[in-house]
Amino acid sequence: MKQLWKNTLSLLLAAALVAGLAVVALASGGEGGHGGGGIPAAKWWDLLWRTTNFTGLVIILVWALKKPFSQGLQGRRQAIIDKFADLEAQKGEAERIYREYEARLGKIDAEVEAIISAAVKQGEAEKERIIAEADRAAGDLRRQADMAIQHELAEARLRLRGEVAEQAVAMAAELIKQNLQDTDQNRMVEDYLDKVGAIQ
Amino acid sequence: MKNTVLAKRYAKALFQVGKEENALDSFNTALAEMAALYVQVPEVVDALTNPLYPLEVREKVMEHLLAKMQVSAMVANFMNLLVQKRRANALPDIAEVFQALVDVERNMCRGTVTSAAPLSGALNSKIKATLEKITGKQVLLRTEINPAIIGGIVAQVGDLVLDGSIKTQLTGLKESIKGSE
Repeated sequence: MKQLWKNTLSLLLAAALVAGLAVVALASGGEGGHGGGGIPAAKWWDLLWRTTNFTGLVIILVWALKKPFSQGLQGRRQAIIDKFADLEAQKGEAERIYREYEARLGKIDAEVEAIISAAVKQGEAEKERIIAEADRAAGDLRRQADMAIQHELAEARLRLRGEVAEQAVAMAAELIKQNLQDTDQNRMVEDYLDKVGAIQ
Repeated sequence: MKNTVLAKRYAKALFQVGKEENALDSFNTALAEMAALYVQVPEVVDALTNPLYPLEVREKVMEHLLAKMQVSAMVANFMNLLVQKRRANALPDIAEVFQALVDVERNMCRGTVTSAAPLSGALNSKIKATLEKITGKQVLLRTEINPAIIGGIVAQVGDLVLDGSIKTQLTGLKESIKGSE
């Protein structure tokens, strides 16, 4: 940046020098200008004026734009440096991921083997569990069936015994009705009264 | 619906008077007859208890009944009192309680003997004697015939029940067959 300013200053000095030489030439040839065919003095004065004006403009521009331009360039430089640093970090992260995946790829076969082994083991355990559960359910069903059979048998036995009792009693009642004589009736009442009287 | 408390109150009052006048039998007979009439003839119930009839009319009906039955003045007053107090509907209960009071007073109790066939007089006497021995009271027995008991007897005196029927024995036999394993 400093070099740029030096070059600009040199250029300006050169322009001032040319302008000075022009003024000298104007001064030396001014008197004979009207008689000869050279450049008129008014033209030289105009050139001088224009050069001076341009130089002034350049100086003002340089003075006014020096700081913002310098800051802009500095910011741009810093942004490029930051960008470079960011890209370097990204590159490092990408390389790390790449290495990680590379390592995992190296171990993928072992992992696949382990997953398959675990799945087989889990399947075996599930199979054992299902079989055990089925055995238990079968046992429960068998026990329930046994209990139902026992219950039905007991009920049938009870029902049969009840029916036998009903029939036996009905037959006995019929037989007694047919064969009961007055003497039997009287003896039965007397026996009962004796028994009741004895208890009392 | 029975109103035992009310019936007891009236019966006890009449019992006290009958005892003082030594007229328990006549009171008891009159009450029993009136109660039987009340139970057996629905028109009597209506004439003595229907509130649609004026009280005077109901009293006249009772007076007419009492005149026909020729009861004592005390019993007649008692019956009139029942009509005036609108308690004629308690007449059967009062008669029953009065009978019980008289029985207690005379150390008596009443019962029934049920048999499948008519019993001989000697057997009835033996039953009566046995029941009197058990209860310690004089027993008045009423006999009933019920062929359903097949044979034997069922005697009931108050809360005491002596069941020597063949039907009950067969029922016990049936239950023991059912219950035996």
